[in-house]
Amino acid sequence: MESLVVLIPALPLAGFILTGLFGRRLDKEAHWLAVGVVVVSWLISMVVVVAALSGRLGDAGLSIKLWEWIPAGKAFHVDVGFTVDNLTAVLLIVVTTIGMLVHVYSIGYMAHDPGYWRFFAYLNLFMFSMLVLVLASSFLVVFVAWELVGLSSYLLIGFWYGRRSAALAAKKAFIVNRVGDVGFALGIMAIFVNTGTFEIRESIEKLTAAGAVLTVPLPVIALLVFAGAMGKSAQFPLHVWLPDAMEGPTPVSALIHAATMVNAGVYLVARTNLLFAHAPDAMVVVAAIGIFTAILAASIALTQTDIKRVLAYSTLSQLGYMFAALGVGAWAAAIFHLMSHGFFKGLLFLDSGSVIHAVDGEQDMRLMGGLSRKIPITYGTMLIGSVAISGIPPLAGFFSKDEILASAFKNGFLWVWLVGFIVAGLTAFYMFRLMGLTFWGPSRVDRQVEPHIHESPPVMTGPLIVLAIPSVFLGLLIGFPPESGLIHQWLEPVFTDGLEVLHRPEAAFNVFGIDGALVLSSVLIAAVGIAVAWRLFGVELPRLSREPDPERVRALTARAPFLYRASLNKWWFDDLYDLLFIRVGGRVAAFLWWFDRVIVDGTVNQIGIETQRAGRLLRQVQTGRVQNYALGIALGLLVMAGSYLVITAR
Amino acid sequence: MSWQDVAIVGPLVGAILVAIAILLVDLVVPGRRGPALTVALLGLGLVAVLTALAGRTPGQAFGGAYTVDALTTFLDLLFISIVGLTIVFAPDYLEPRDLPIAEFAAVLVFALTGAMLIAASTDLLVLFLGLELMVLPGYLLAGFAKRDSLSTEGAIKYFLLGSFSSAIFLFGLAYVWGITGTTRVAEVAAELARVAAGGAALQPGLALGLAFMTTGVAFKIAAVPFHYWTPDAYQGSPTPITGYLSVGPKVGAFALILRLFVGALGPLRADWLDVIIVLAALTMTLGNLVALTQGNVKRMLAYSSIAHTGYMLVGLAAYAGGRQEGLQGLLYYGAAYTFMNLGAFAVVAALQHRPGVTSALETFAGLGRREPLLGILMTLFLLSLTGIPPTAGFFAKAYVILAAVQAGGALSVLAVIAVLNAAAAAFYYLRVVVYMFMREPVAETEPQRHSSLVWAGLWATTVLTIVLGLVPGPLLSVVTDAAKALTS
Repeated sequence: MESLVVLIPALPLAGFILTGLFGRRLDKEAHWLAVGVVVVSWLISMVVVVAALSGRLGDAGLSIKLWEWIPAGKAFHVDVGFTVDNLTAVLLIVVTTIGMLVHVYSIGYMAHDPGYWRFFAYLNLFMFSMLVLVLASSFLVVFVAWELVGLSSYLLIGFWYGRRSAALAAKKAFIVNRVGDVGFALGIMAIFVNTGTFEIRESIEKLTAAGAVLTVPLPVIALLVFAGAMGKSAQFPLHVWLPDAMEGPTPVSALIHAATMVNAGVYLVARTNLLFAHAPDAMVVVAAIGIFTAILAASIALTQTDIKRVLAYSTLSQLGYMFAALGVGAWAAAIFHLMSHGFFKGLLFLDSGSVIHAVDGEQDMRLMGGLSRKIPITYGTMLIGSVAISGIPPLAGFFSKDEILASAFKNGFLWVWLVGFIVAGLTAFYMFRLMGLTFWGPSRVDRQVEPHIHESPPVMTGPLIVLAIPSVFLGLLIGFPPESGLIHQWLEPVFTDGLEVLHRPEAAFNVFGIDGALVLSSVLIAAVGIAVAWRLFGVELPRLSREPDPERVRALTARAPFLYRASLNKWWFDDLYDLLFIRVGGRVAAFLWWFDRVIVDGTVNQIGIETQRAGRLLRQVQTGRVQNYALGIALGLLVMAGSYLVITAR
Repeated sequence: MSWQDVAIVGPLVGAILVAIAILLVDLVVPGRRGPALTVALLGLGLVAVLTALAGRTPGQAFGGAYTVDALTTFLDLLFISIVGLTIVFAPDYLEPRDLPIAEFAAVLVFALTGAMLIAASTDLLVLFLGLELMVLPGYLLAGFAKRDSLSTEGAIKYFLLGSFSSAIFLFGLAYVWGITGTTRVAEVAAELARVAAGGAALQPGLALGLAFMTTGVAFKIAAVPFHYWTPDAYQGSPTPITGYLSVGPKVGAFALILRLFVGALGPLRADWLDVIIVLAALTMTLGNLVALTQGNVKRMLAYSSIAHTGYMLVGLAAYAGGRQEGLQGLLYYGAAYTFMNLGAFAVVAALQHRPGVTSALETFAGLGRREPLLGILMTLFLLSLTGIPPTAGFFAKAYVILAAVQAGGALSVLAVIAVLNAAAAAFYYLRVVVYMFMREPVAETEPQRHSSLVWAGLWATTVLTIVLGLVPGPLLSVVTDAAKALTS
């Protein structure tokens, strides 16, 4: 079993190295190796996952020590090791399954790209990094993997680096992530200072042990760790990089920026749940930032016209839900939503890629419309994804989202519930606005492109169909009955200590009581959102058809010009940051540059010049005459003898 | 001489036989590189196996003059790797210049026998014998390009000064023998422990003996101010030989220091500690300062090898300051330095494959585009020589400096000097990287073809440089055993 676990990340690493070395020669055959290793890695993961979830690895999971990474005495040593418990197992399902499907899909999507092999090499690198991230048992190794996924994300966002916007977006993602990473690094250092270990489980047990003396207070540590999570999971105010990250190829958006990497923050907070349970104030911050991000992003998604950007803001909003769940102590619900969101958002992104593929690279929904008959598989699967994310039973999104809202309500966070409730309505609205603009109503596609619209090849539609299955059934399968489904049984050992600390009242799910009312209300608001979208942007379903009504949309937006413009301009956050960091920051930086150039560099250069002068002087000693050398040695011997006589005389 | 003695000296005898076999092969099929190289590399492999086998049963032979323990095995295997890698790297450079390869290999293997004798000897006279056996082939090698006046000049200087310093060293040994009445290392140590326990001032004769021996070994490891021979000898020699000279005799001389200063003179370590501290500080600083001003990569590496001697001396000083970790650091440094430095020299030699190409910095301009793989490997070696993690060089520096910090006192100052020097060294190492990747080539040159032998050697050094940086644990436990064998 241990060697199997090691193989899971090792195979993609081997794939990365081999594809990187020989990819250029393999050219259009480069995918065989890259896809092959990920498929095998997926198979092995499934074996490990089954073993873990069936309880064969025990409640604490399987711990493997690979090697001693930094042996430096007893006080400081770092082991490289993996831990597989049920939380890891759930993440493994998401990462390897979606990763494998995206690899397959890319064979078709990237078929005509000159950087074919490079793309697969990067994808393999990402898989390796992400798998190490979820497997690692030490904070330091998590951090290394944390940076590695950041690197692969950077490489893939900027994959078409010839495009200026792509290069800028990659840089933006990298820099914004640095801000969060600094917090995470400080958090890890604080943990080490307090406990003397980097091992996740051991250090958190020491931190939260009764009577532990801490030099850095617990809530501060928790918030520093959360800062890292905010960067990677793009939570307000570090959310600005994710929409721009859509410059990357669509399979990347699906894999990294929807289904896996952006979930790393959620995973990190869930992994350290005991730490947060002991810092209730920090948890309120987590909940507040999460739910605020959820409504902020949802309000922006309402008016975006780029199909991928709508999905990107939707991802932000759903991640906000997950953090809200983490903040109210509904950890299992957060991981459940992570899982179901991973599948249906991965599906939606791959669908959008298929749409873009069909209309020859166009991403503006105003230039689409009426595609439902021409690309039926894409349309059908995307409809499933949209229904799932809108929270209509019995699809996956309904169960996971409803658990988050219900837990917020029942744990006493009424404000979280209320905002989340509104977001649910907005979500249903913007998803069906997207469906209406893209697939229904009259075609607005470019005349030149129109005749060439075609369904994607099977290598692309296959993954869509496969992903549609969990989007429909996952909720029923592991989320039913609510709050005691399979997912709760799986995650119970991971969260049980934290829940004990929180003292949440155990109330059974009651269909005819408060729970039934909550379910009914959230289904209702989703239905309202969908109905409004249908009225404004049209629908073409069997026995249900309506033309879009652009006049009404115009009239509505004219009635609330401020809100409309705020949403369209993303609440001016990019402009604010431009002013703060580019203009004002630029001035400060220019001053610092002057200071650095004249004062600091001046000093350093002078030291350098003096040093070089000393070096040249010393070179004079090297005369090349052997007599001089011998004399030098003799003199050295005299000095040596003299000093020994002095030293040994004591 | 019993059968057990034969088993213990087996590896040494094996090495001598390999050298003779290379000469015989060259006699039968003269001037062909294939057979001689095959015999040399296979033979070295066999000697390595013999060494590993002999290392499993530690013991002594010849009445305690020859010892096989964990230290001997570690050092022997290191020497065999050094000689093996040099033999792998050299033919591509020697062949276009019409230099005989078989003779080169044979001379190198003879030098190996000297180094192995040093590693195993526990008798002062045998130590001296091993030292001479190791450096004499060194003189030959320095003058190997005998039609090149620079090479001959460097070799003659090396020989004259080397003989001078050997005499000084032998003089020191004579003093110690005169005072302790024995040449066996263990007995010398016991006698000196008695002297040290007395607490009185040392006899002037003993102090002079220490001074002469310190000077002698300082010359052999090229410590400042006894380093004058290095730039000339290194500059004049063919590049692969420079690589060997900067590693082989240096590690060999450190083996001598371990057997002599730690083994025999260990009880007097309070007396030689201060001298080693000063030597280490001088050596690091001056080596780096002069390396800063070099515009030729080969000369730069030669001077930087002086600086590396200084870092290794920090480990020795930390041991004298009471930290066993210093010895472990020194041994780790020796292994890490071997692979990264040989790798760097191999890249320089590979670039000089075509006769007439110099090792000036300009040769490296645009290498990153011309031969990207070679450029990347060179960058790795240079980063390791600088001491950037996760490479072998990082842990090597970390261990010696950590040991010095733990020892405290004047050694903390030495640790600070070492760190400052490492920072200064980054300048001249990274300058080469800048040339490789950010400068346009002066004249457009064709990429050169390198034999698969060279690539194999480069990959071996690369893998070792990375592995020792990622997984230092196994080697650390080996050097811990070796250090324990020496001091227990």
